[in-house]
Amino acid sequence: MKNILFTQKVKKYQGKYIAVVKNKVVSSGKDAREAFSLAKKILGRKKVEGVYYIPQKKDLFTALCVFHISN
Amino acid sequence: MRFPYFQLEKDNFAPIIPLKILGREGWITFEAYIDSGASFSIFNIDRAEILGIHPKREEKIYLTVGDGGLLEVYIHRLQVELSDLRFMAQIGFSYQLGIGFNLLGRKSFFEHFRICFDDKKRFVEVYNIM
Repeated sequence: MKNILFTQKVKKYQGKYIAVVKNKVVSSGKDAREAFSLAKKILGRKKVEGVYYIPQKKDLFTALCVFHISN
Repeated sequence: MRFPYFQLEKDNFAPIIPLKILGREGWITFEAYIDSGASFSIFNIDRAEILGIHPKREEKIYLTVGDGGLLEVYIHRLQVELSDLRFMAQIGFSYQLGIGFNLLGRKSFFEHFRICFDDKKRFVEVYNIM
């Protein structure tokens, strides 16, 4: 089964975080913690399987690099 | 294993893939942007809380970012699953990561996999080389 991250279903959550069970969105929030906590309340004993950030347009124009390690 | 790019529009896409990490209550999957320019994988600190781990218990290092600034990162060794392979990986957690998604960098991952980007066909292929 195609991970929900790669489907059109998540587009409406751009800029938000979603919690997922069985490839379905259970909750969403403005940060990962909020989406996760809300999902736990909804699910009870069931486990949250995934927490994803759904990028928005501006997030995908990036120049990412992290280098040079120091202690 | 082949992963399609995360895609919002025709010309707006990125190599974001699902990565499973073992936390205190079991496996949980997060998204991670494959960043071959990053020495380390860096996750936002709230993902550590979701995993049930205390980020500050582990080694603190500083990573230099593109503008010359320093990013404070706590490095943990965690069991991960990518492309059906489970292994121990070094994952950094930071309070200062200013982007929504997590970064999957070279350390621990590019040693286990050959990773090929195909922007034309919009997918990334992750080959196990262990």
